[in-house]
Amino acid sequence: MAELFIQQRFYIGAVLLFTIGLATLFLHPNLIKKIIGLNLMDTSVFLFLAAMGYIEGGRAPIVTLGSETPAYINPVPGGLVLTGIVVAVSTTALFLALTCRLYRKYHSLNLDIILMRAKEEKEDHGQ
Amino acid sequence: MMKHDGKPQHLFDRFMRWAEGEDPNQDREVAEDPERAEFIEYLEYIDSHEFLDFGAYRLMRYRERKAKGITQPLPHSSGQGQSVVISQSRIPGRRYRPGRLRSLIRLYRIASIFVAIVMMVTLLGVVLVMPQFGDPDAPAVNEVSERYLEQGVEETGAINAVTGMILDYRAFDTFGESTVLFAAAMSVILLLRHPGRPAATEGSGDLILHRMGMLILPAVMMFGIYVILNGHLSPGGGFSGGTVLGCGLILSALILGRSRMEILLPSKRITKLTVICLLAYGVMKGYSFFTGANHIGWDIPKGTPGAIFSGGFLLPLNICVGIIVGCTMYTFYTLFAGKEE
Repeated sequence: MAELFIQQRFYIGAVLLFTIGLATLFLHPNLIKKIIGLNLMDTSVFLFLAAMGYIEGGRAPIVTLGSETPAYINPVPGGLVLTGIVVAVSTTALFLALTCRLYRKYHSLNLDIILMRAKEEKEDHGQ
Repeated sequence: MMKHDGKPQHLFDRFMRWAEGEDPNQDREVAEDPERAEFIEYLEYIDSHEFLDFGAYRLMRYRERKAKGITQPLPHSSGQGQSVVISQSRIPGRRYRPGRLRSLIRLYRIASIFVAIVMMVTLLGVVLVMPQFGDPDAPAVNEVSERYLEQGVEETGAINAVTGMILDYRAFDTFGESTVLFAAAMSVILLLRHPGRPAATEGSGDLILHRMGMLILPAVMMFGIYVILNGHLSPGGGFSGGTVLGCGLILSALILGRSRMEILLPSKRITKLTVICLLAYGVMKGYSFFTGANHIGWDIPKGTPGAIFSGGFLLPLNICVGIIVGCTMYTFYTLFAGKEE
């Protein structure tokens, strides 16, 4: 069992990272920390994909011409991680921009306080 | 708008001012109010846990209304519609039951930890029965990657199989990626740009930053360009090289200051450059897909694999992607570094 855990250590690390990110997303009322949690989840997926592509003793997929062909690692997960990184950067930038706007309006990063002030404002307009 | 600090301490003070009755309308004998004691206890709880929720909000509103002598139904009441008579100083129903919100908060935390742990156990179970790490016979290593590695050099002309894959076999995917990045940049511009606001944040007059930046900057730029241009030959490519270029631009903005940078590289020009590169990418890739799929025979000469001018359109495509990524990174920086009013 312990051997299996050591063998699959990268996958297990990815799962732990994912869980930490998920818990951060749930438990922190601070919006920036929520974004950090989301980024942790992204990173765990990248780690998982990169570990999937590895082949024992494989080299980076830069093909050497001519001579015998050595074992290369799988290039497909590399491309997928690239896609994932770009999407993660885009979503993070968008979230941060929205958080900026929220902060400008409500002067707080705490989600509960933001919701409180938003409701307060709505009520003040209602009367 | 009043400038509030989001810290619980300040909110606590705000609540306390309400509770202390600075309002002249409020009578002074609230001191013996058991609800007030609970309120203060609750605020202390919030303060120690850095956590605020609607319970505190409702209580605050209630205090406010009571101070003004309003006897309307409380906000967000659970639909009973009966008005609260202030003279009978009982807070109605279940909403202010002592400890209810506290237990709700605890329930939420326990539930979220439970969900996270269930997720973790499920994923761990899956991971442990997966093919072993580094297994060459894993199902993920199938004919697709073999094809990319074996035929990739003849078919794309790139010896970097990843670049050959993302810019040739899966070029539409990469086009989508660039479009996502572009869309994100546009959204951030829409959200954060203030047209009337002058470009703030002058470069710091720091001598050390200036000298060291000037020393490092050419190397950073050179490395970025190297990574972009050798994307089909060595590890790297448009995305990684573009990020390095973007870092170089950010560094130069830090050294020169935003106003001088705006003269050097206006934000409008950056947007135009991005759009042109995106269009060029679409046109080039559309051309090669169209002619390649129809066997017209107007193929781009592949060149000798391993030379810098090889791989057909891969080099210009990498340059386009690099410019898009670098400009987007710099745009993000300029928008997020804008001074708060």
